[in-house]
Amino acid sequence: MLVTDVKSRPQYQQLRFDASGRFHLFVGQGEGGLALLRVRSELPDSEGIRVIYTGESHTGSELSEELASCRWRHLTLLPTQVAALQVLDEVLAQSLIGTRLYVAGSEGFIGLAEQVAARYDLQSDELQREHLGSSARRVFCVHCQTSHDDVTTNIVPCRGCGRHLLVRDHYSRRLAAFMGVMADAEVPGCFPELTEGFAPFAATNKTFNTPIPAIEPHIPARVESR
Amino acid sequence: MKTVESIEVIIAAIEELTPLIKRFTLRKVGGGSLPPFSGGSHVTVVMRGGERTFRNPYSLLSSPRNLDSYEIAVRRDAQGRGGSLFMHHIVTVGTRLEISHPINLFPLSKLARKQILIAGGVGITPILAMVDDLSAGAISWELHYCIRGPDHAYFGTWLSERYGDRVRLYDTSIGQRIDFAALAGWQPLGTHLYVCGPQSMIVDALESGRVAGWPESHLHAEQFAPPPVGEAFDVHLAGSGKIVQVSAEQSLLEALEAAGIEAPYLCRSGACGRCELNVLELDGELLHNDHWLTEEDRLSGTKIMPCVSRAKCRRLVLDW
Repeated sequence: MLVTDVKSRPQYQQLRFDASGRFHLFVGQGEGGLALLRVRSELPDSEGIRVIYTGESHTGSELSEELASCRWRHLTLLPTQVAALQVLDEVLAQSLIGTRLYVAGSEGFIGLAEQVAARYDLQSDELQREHLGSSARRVFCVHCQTSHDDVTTNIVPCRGCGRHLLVRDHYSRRLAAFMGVMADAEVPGCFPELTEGFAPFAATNKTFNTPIPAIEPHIPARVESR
Repeated sequence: MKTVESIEVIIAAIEELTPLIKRFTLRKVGGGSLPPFSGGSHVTVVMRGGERTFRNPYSLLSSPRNLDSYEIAVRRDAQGRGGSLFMHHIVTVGTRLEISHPINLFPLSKLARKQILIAGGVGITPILAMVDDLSAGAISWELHYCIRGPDHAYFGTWLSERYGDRVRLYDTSIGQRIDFAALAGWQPLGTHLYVCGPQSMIVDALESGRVAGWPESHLHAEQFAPPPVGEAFDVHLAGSGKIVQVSAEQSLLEALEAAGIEAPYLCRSGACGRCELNVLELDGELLHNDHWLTEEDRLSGTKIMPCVSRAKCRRLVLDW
């Protein structure tokens, strides 16, 4: 398992209401809803507080009903992560400086929300992140630039170029993903041990006894000029 | 330890812009381009005035796109320690001076969605170069500039003619003031605020931002305040065993330099942290005037920024 203490690996904290802000925008996904339910009691009853939530997650944790039963001034429930991120974008475009953003959910969702926030120049002192639920990772193929959501293993076949990717413990905030590099580049067909450790609900690390399945020769990567 | 490599320059022009401010044009001795810089940068000018050497930071106000010369502006301060008087009365066209490489401790954010610049008086100098950078880019910006009165409007008039509505002038002699609360209250996410001017203006601008919920990462200020005067004291250097006397009008850093000790420094205004020294012993109290040390550092009594801070004591022992 390629897990190290590299600095690029994001550090998460528990969401805390930041009273130095004037407006507060909470964004939750899946089990991230638990964080929103938890902070609800700390929050003042203010017109400046807004909540966006989507129950969509690959672990099936849907907390829309629980959230709706709390009394929020402004709660928007969305069916998908994409829709939630779209609403986040629209709300930030109308927001004033002095707004604090709070994001809770899977690592992949947090990363995508941060990408949206970066368009509005939100810095670390106006953005909090809490990681809840699945520890699956978003993986970016460094060869063909295809991203893969909810990867739970250390090796994943790339659906863009067909290479088997070894997921490195190297996180890119810009791409909101871990880097996946060709696993058998040195010796074709020779792979490290396949393990699963980024499973839903932080399952115990298990090692597969089965060998890595043989794969077809990979399709050469299309290098797009950027 | 040599901290900053210096550049030999010659004064190519001096202009009296207002009753208090002179502009100096600096060219490299022997000709050629000066080092590149970005808007908000300053240089430290070394002024050897007989028995005393001043090293004052001055912002570069000229366009960062022109490296044939640098321009600085100096406001005459008759009550000051003498650096500005040296520049006004001793320096003439043809005088050679030593300056540091440009250093930027007041840079523009490259990620901002909107830039708000606020200046008072001679505090406009870094902002002139920042505005030059901004005028070449796509980020929206505006400038709010306070002047003392019509006689002091040189830069204000120049800016207004060049940049039109982006520049708002406030003439304090007829009671015009910046409404900081209104300014900070309704800005889009991703706005950055930069203020350079008198201490009270900096405090008002930053405080209005904080009241409106602005995070610290979007609030920027710079002020080159001279090191405060105080009482004389002795510094013992534990490393060499040397004893240096710091006079009442001298900063600790200046006293070390006068004794031939090359202590590290960059900004000379308590902001950058470069000159931090460790205190080993003290029979009095440290008088901190910097913006660098944390509250914890100050309480520990073991650190001092010699560029602006001093001690009220008979004997201070430094780990140097």
